[in-house]
Amino acid sequence: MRKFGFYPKLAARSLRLNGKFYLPYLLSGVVSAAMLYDILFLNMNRGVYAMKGANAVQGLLGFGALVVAIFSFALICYTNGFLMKRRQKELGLYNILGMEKRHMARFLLWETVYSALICILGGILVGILLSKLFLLLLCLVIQADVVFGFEVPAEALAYTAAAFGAIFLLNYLLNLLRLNRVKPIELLKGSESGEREPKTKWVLAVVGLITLGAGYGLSLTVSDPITAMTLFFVAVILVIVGTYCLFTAGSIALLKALRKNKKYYYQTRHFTAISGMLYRMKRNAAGLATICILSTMVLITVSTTVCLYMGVNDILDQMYCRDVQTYVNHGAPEDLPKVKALYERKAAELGMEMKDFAALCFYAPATAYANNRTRIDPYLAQADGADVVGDPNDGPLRVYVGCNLAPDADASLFSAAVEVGASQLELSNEWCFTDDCRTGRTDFWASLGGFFFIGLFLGALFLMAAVLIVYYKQISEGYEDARSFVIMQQVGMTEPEVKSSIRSQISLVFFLPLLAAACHTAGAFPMTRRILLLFGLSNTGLFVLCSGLTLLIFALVYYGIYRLTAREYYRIVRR
Amino acid sequence: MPLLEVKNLRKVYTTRLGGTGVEALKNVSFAVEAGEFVAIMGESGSGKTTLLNILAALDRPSGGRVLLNGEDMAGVRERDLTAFRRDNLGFVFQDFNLLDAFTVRDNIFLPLVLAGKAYEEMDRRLQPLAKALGIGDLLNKFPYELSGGQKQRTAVARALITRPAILLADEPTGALDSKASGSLLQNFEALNGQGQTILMVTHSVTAASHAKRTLFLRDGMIYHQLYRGQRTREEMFAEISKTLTVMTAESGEKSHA
Repeated sequence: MRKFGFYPKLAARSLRLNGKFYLPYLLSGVVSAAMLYDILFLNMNRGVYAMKGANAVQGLLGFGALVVAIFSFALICYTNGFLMKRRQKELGLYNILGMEKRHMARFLLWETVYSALICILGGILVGILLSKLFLLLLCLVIQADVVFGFEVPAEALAYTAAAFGAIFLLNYLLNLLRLNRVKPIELLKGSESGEREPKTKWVLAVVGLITLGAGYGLSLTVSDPITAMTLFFVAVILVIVGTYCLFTAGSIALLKALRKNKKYYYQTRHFTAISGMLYRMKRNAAGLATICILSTMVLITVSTTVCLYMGVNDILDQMYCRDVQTYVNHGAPEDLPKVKALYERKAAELGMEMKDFAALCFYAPATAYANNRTRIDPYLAQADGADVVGDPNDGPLRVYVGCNLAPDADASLFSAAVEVGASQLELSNEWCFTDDCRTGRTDFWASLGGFFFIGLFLGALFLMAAVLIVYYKQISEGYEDARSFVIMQQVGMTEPEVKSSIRSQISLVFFLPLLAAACHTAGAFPMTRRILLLFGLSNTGLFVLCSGLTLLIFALVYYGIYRLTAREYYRIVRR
Repeated sequence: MPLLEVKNLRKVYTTRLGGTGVEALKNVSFAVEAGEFVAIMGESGSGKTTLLNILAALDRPSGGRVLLNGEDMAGVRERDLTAFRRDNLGFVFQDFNLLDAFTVRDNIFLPLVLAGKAYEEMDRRLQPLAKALGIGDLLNKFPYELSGGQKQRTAVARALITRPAILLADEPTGALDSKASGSLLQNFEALNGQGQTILMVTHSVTAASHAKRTLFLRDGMIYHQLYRGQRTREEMFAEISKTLTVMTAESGEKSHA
């Protein structure tokens, strides 16, 4: 019976002893499980179903849940890989003390079971506690009535548990694969074997430059919003590839160039930082590139969704300039009087007062207007008064006919009547659907609110990932560097010099990705602006403001993390 | 005035709970003149490492004084200690303590970079030193590409490039094979011949036999000292072995008594 309890106990002990490494891992697991649960909770909540504009929000939430699940998987795999590398020595020791690989597999299994249980149970618990808060937040941003009551959907629980169970199972299998590949002597040596100095890879640098240039070029040259939308992901992939290549090859080339400059290199501050960075650049580069990409994702996601949300009134004013609108698709200008007559008749039938008819709303016309004058002018000629709304620069063209109603009139009733009436009219071509814009406004609020919510939600997740990666990177390097700093103090490095050298090294690691992320966000700006035009947001000033503010807040948070990590690193090195 | 003077040195380690103290050094006094090559021998626990740590200003004594060039090391302020160490003392360790991230050249330059010297000055100092130690061809290599002996000679170059008053060596041959040990000790003798003062702590009778003087440490006290004088290395080797045998036998008797 004692044998049964051995591995579980050993695994529990090992988790406790490695707490410093496992705590952030488990914590991030708990947080991502909680996030998955909450987003599933919102997706399945009956209250949300009942909300106005729920369809759009549900769709967004479903998409968000998928992103959270995939991302959690990547994050947990990454941190698990890091942890396993750190623990090779411990496993090697067990191996030499007579623990066979199959025993170790059992030991690892228990560890995985514990981690999975902590993450799933903890995550669901935290998720349930926070679910009401998220629900209120969602109601707030989509301007829906507050949903009362408290529920714990069994499906959300099951999906969360299943997703994380699968993630941990996969991780376990990956660990077994790792275990199988290594020899005990390598296990013992672990991560401390010296790495060759990396060669400068010119091909990679050129590939990086080309892909990055292509990505930026796409963003700068695409002028049509629809093309921008379709090519956006191509540009994203190009930039990601370019970032990885350039961080890998470019950083090495840069550091080597710095090292060649003897006056610069042989200064206390730069000497240790440059050689240290160069020494482990191969690993560093991928980490830095990942941090950079994640930061860019946070910046773009948050800034665009915040901007959309802030600009929602602008968009609505352009999109719905009347209470009831009929969208002119291929309708002929000659039919305009017939449509007007229809509006008047229906208003009289329903006993409603019709105001401000005959407005043609050109949504975001300008260049579109200039290019389509021949098509648009006949409509304008037919209308009593024309209303041109939108940014006079560019954007897709839409033509509407519409009117306002008294505040207490039922706009949906009226629009339905017009819709039915229009189908009975003999028109030379089909006029498209008629909208009740009061409902349209609420729906639009809901979907933009949904975007905003998901943007912040995913932004928080990406931020957590970036923080976690930075933290682990610095901690692991701290352990590697501890010996170096002892030696440097022995040959005469003073305490303040140690501090300033550490600061120099860490700040490079931290602020290089931030700088690159800011650069990417700026590079993506023309493209994201065009995509926002698709949503009807043409207020460039607002977008600049939102991007700037997001960058500022992100930089502040990032700086906070930098300070924390630097302190932890310093403590490890000073041991 | 001797270069280094140790007077009535005491070091007591108290356990964390403030119980009984362990006296690592009881009453050690000796002096090292400029240009000497002194070996300090003793068994584990004899206080060798404690003594070296105090001489290296890595640890403070509980009593007594250490004078370097007549200056009391206790008078150096804590924050000036590192600079003091860098400017006056050179260290060689048993396990080399080279940095893997640096080339041999940069490892040797390290203390000078820390002292803020210009590159030209560093390079001027390096050339003769690298030649004397036979590592002139290895300057662009990394420590993991070197043999143990080459590593230790790099470490010696790093210790000497600041032109320290004393070279302190802690078991410098401890991790080397006999051939590498032999050539390193010859390097030491040659450096000493050019006037470099060396103080070496060692277990190895062979290593000690290269020194001009050997101090024997036992239970925190100087037990005996031998001058090499005109004796050959072989004679010195025999003499040191004899002293060690007597010393060990005595302590054996003591513990059995």
